[in-house]
Amino acid sequence: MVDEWTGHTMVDAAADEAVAWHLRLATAGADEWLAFTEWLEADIAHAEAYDALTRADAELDDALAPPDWSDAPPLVADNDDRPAPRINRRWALPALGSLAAIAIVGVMLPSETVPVAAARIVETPAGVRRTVVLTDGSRIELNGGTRLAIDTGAARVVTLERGEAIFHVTHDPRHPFLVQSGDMRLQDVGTVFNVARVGGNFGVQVAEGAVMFQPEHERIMLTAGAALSHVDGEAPRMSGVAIDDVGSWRKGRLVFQQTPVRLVAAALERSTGSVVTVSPALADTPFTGSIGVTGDADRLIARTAALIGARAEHGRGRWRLVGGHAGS
Amino acid sequence: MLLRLLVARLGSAEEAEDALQDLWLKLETVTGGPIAEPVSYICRMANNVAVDRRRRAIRRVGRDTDWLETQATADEHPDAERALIARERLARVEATLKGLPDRVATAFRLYRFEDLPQKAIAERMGITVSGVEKLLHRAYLRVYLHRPNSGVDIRRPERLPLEEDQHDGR
Repeated sequence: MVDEWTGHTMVDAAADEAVAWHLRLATAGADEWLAFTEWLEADIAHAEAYDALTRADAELDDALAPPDWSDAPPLVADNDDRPAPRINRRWALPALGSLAAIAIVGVMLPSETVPVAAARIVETPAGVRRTVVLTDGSRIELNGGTRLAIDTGAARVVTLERGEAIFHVTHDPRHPFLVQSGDMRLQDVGTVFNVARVGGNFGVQVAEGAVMFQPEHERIMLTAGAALSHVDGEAPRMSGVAIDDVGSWRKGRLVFQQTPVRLVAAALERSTGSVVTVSPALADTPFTGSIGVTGDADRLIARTAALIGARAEHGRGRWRLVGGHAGS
Repeated sequence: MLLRLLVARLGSAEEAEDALQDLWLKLETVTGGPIAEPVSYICRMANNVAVDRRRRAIRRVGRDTDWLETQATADEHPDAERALIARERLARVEATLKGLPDRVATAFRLYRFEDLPQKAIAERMGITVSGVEKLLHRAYLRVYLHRPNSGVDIRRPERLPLEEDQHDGR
């Protein structure tokens, strides 16, 4: 078959069929799996084409997810006090021959369920955004430099390990959607909200509906237009935000209100992918303003430095913001 | 059936037995609600185990494919370097999709990176499910053609199992 989009490459029939199988298998029933096995067995070229295709496809995961992504959750560490796994391998192995036996294993799974920290990790490198849609229809837009762990079990729990994301939550009163980050927890009440974490700093801004901060503790209800920031070990601070500014990084605009420069630098890094550090003297200086993230990253950082009243120094592949006057 | 599938995928009975062990280990860690189609589910999982094993095997033998080596050790790199590696890989994905009609790339992104089922993609794009399948077919042919080591002839580490050889009269 000719690849009509490049116009020059011949794709052999085996590759063409491999692609068709690859797409079908996502929803294949037992009969199709059998037919697929027969197809693999029919010609080693089939098996090789399918093998090459699936490996190439798997490489794509690595482009957008960290290497520790896998279907199986990593086995739980030191403090693991789970009971020993209960599927008896000695029983299971001889039963392989029959599909009926496979069905039994499958049906038993739910009752064999043990609590495991099974999470799907989604990570973006700095400068790269990504959207994920959860099975309940909720949508999460990840800014660059962000790492999330999405609980793959029944509960709707997402952990923001670092970075920033905006959550469009499909509200279900019976199954609350929880976002946690460090010790902080947020429970949605039907909402769109933005959450950021940089080291010990945590911030949330609500664009629509409401979200409850620390449902087991403070129980602070944040409604549209509310913002809350928190530094580990301190009391949370409430402020307001223009609704249009919530998650404005998606539109290439970074908005800051009395934001310490080190968090401004972290936001620049997330958006541009350039490493931006800050001199200690400048780190906690508050900045209020709005920056358009467009064009060349180097010029953007220099422009931001000017807005902050600082200088941007470039060296060894990273930027450093230093005090504008008598050095840092 | 599972064993037969794994033998066909991995090319040796011994490899297939090992893969089955991996599969049981994985099943032991599965949590979550009831599984609607247990047979399909386990076959899919077995197939995924086969992909993982094949990738690891290629990594071990393919010392010349340094890109894969980088990937195996990405954990050890500092953040900035990891970000760089991740960007390179992303560029590779973009390069793969480049030049494809927008609709093909859109369908592929929705399917592959947003994990939407074909039906949902059809609804979103306002086309039929078989239309979506055609678009994805094009995209996957491209993935196949642009695979990182497509220039390298990687033979399977082991021959087919004995019974297959006997079928061939050898």
